[in-house]
Amino acid sequence: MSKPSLDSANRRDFMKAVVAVGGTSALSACIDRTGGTTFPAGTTNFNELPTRQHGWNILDEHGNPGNPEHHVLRFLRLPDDYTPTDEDRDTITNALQTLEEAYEWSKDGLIFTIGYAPRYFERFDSDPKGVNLPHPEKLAPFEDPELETYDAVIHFTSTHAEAVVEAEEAMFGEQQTANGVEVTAQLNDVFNSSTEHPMRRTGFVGPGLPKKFIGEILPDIAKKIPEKSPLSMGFESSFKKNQASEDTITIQNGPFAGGTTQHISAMSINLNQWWMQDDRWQRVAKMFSPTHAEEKLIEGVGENLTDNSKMDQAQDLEESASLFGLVGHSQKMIRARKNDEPRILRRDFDTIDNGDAGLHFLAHHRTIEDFVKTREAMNGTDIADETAVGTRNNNGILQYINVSRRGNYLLPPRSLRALPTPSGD
Amino acid sequence: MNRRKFIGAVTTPTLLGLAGCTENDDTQTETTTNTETTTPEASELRGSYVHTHKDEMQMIGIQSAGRLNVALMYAVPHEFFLTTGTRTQKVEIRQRDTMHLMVSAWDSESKTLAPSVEPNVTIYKDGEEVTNVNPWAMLSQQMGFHFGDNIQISGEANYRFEVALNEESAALEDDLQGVFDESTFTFEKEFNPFDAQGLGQMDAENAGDAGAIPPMDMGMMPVPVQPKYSEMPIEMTEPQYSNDMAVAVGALSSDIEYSDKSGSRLVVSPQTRYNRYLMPLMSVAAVVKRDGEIVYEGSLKSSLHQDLGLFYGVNVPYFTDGDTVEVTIKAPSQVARGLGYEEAFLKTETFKFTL
Repeated sequence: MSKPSLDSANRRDFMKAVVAVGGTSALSACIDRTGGTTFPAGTTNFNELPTRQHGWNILDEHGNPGNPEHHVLRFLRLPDDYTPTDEDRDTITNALQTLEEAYEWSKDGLIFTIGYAPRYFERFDSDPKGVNLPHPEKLAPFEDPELETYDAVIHFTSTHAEAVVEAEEAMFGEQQTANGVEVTAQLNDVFNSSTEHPMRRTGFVGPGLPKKFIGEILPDIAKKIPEKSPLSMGFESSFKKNQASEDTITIQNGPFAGGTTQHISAMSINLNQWWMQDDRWQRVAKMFSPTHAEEKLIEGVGENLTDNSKMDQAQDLEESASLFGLVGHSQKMIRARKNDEPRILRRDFDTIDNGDAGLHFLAHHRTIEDFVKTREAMNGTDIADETAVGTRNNNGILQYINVSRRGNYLLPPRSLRALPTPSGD
Repeated sequence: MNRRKFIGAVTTPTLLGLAGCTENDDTQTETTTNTETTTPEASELRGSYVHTHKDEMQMIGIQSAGRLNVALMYAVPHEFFLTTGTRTQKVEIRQRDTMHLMVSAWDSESKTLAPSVEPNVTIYKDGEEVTNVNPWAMLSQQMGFHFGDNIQISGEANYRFEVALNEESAALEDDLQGVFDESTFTFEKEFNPFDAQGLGQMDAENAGDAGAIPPMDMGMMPVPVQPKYSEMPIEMTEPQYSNDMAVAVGALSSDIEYSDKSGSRLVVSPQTRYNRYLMPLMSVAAVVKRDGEIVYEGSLKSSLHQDLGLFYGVNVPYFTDGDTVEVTIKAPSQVARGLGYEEAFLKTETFKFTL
């Protein structure tokens, strides 16, 4: 399995390598190559920025939520006996405001969020007020993930890989300027992190990217991935009608109003079975529904779809199971709604971390319970009980995935993102 | 071929997927190898035929936890067919495939095979994780029911296989309670996966004839066959056959142990005609009538019994002579099939039995 290389001649390969490898040398190599692109500039009018860290407002012409192409996650720890100080809060605020000054808060600039885990709040005498933030648990009988115990996580994302790496280096490395703005404070003045997996995770989403990057580790399989596909399984997945809105996922009450909760999991995807064993009919049936396969409702990666994936045309779930012996992933997810709206906003992205094809499933939701209920619907264990559908066999896409890590986080509103207290003061 | 329009709510089973076999694969670069897609008309199904050859198999190990035994084995890479509805789809051997890895789990006491433990296998090469796979639930003429897949591990090394089993999800009759709990087993082998290529293959006699290669003698592993109907501890009806699947029905009475003792337990027992293998992953429903009146109507749940093996069951009011049982296979076994089985056990069918 070849690891991404900074020597690659192709610009796209190179940019991916920059994200995957990270570090100042990657950045220098990058600047050497591209001549130090500047990105849309940020602002010092910080109070004009959205209250919501999760307020990205990236929508296409149909209202489908978008996700920038390049992603880095850095998981953070604090010393065991650490208690937050105002001095450290100032450091963090200065560091993050440097990023806001440097880069426009947009997908062409830089978007970032910082979230705090249950482990962080255990340092205080009480739980975060108005927010239920449990430790992660295994969410299916057939999984055995590592239940993570970091203190916090920062997520960087942008259309431009260079912006992501430069920002990351500004916060944790040797980089002294971010988009021309001087770096006066860094996150690693307060937090401990590492450039090694699993404390550093990277990923990509968008047309062309899965085919390119899976091609680095699984060239035969990548030939099957359509050029237009934004994700490695070959289909569009983010629609207005199957995603919660940013309003829905926002905490409404209490000191953390304006924030959201976040679940981040890591999973491997068996692209060998998916692309080399199943055929098109089966892939469409298992991702959407048997009706979608029979009636050819999906063209290509879903380029015929507007703001929904035609789930209203899918057969009833129980009927699919008992008559077809198969249920589609999206078919099961219809049950995960609340007030007829999806409960979660998915901002997931593919990865080739460690040379394994996988997905970092990152989602936002008003409560962790919303995520848990959604995952329960995905498990379809009730369907497997009385029909030909198995625990994983023909049960949506469960056959192909293996979840290895889970973590829960609270994303405070912008004003409370620097080492919040449980009561938010 | 007529393209039958998909019908929604049905009361009679429908053969689905009669769309043409042409693939509208959206890839631009790949020239797809000739994938066989079969959605045959019921009358065209060939049934079970003798596969062309027998494969030698190599055991990596057998381990146990209480009565639960797990075996990990491999053979040369196999072609097989994935089943979705009544549609089967051939999986070709890839150039990169080095072996067909197989997992089997059974109760050491009754030799009952566990069909729903759906294992997850993580493979480490010299300590580093190289792959993670959920092998397919699979039925092959030689091996019977097992979990298997072609994998691509290569290079002489020390390999560690972590096999994580789910709790068996079939209803477990008394004696089997607690035998098939969630568990993980670790196997190690220092070898070169290419050794699998050296395993022997022997031509089968009567290849292509109706029938099946007999079950393989696997040494320390029990031969994974269901009990003969005549040897079951309850009285079974004469079997009826469809597409080389046999089905017979019976009732668990109070003489025999069963878990929920409120009435009779209807036992619908399918098995493959020639080798008497179990048939998992089916949607089975039954209508019980007494003097023309419906006494029970509903779907059945897969169940495991130490003397009956895998059956589909439900509790019904006590049976009396003359009761009729109509058994409908609404979705045939969704198990992946080894060669020789790709046109067998695919019919959706209604059987009528009189008790």
